[in-house]
Amino acid sequence: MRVWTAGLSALGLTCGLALAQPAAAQSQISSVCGVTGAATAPASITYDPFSPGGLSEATVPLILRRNRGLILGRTREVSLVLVSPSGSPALDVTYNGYRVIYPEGSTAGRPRSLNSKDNGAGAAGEIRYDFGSLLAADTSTPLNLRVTVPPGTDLSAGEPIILDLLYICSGENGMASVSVPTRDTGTIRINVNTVSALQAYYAGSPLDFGEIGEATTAAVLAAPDRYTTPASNSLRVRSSGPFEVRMRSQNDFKLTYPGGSLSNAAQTIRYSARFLGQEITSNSGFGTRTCARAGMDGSAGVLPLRTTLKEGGSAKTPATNYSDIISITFTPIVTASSATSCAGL
Amino acid sequence: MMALTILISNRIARAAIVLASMSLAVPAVPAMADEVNQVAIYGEVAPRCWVAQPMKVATTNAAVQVPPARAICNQAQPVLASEVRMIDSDGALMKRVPTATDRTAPFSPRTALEIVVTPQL
Repeated sequence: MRVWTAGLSALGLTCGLALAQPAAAQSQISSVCGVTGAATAPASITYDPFSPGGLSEATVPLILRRNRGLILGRTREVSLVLVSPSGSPALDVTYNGYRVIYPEGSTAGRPRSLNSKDNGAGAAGEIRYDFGSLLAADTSTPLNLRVTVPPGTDLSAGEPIILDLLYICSGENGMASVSVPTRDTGTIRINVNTVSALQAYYAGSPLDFGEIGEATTAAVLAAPDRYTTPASNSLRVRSSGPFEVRMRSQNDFKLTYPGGSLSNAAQTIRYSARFLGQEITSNSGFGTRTCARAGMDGSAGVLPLRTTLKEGGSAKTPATNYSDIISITFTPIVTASSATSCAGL
Repeated sequence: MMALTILISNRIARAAIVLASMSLAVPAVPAMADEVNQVAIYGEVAPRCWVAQPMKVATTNAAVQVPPARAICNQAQPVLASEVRMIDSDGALMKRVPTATDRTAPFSPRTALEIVVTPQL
């Protein structure tokens, strides 16, 4: 009983601590002023990258945490802007009605001043905050950012958007001030709850072996390239997160015609499928594969599909409509520890 | 015994902390529904017939027995028919000779045996 009590107490303590401190757990100890910040959208706000509406002006509270000196030093005031490094997803962030996110190298001299210096005259387009004196809290009150994410933005499911911070600040009680805009890389984390979503489609020509009535099995096996569909045919996937792939053939990788019997060798023609780097000849041979996120541009989501005949049609019952249907199921998942890049396999 | 209990207790507490961390680290972000793509594969085996063991026989001795060539069809019910027809002056098959023709009567030098195999040869 004591053992269980100890375990559960530890669990509760850990949960309690984590819930009480959503931003950075501790203030950074530094001789100069500075802040870190985290902004997490409420769980009720989610971003589906495939939704035509995207995310429009969602309120995401930003909580800043000031640096502290070893003993009494504190960051007092801060003025900052967000900087999106080149290659960052396109999103718009406003604060008090003004845009506060700028592309790298286009901040136009911001942040310009602190409120104590210009009485707020240049506050538009900047995020400013006064933490107060030594005894005040090290975390700010929530600063409501309005975040807009266009549809189709390449955000990763389950991962925050990491932005840089450009700031000036004042320190007190022995802490040095920073008067020249200083960049802090990866300091701001904005989590907009991107769902793991996925779109997939087949791109290419029909997988048609054509008339194979004169081909013997020996001839087919001797010239596999001749009886293989083009490598340019593929499944195209766009996804914001990793995904699982399953493949299943309606006839267990045999062509047959309407009314044909799968147990009659004369009425079936075996073939194999090459997908995700694997040669599949039966439904039991593939299982489930986990692929890394394909991205919203689909650049990492081209999955070639080739089929190869394994039997000729010379000894088969004539029919113009031999066919089979392969079902490929993609399941978006939130996290995957063993995901591999499936592109081009 | 007490030492053992504390040891186990610490282990469980540590496991609980790890579990708590894991559960907090995994964001509560929903995943969307499955996407199923169906791809059809086609093939065709055309009905046809062919001559098995085709051979060209030139014999001068009428007594020699030549095994007849066989037509093979890959369709379940092929149709094989043969008719004797008279040949036109330009070589075209013209007049069908009834099967009930008196076989004792000699054929004209301009007759031919037409073999029709369905679906095709």
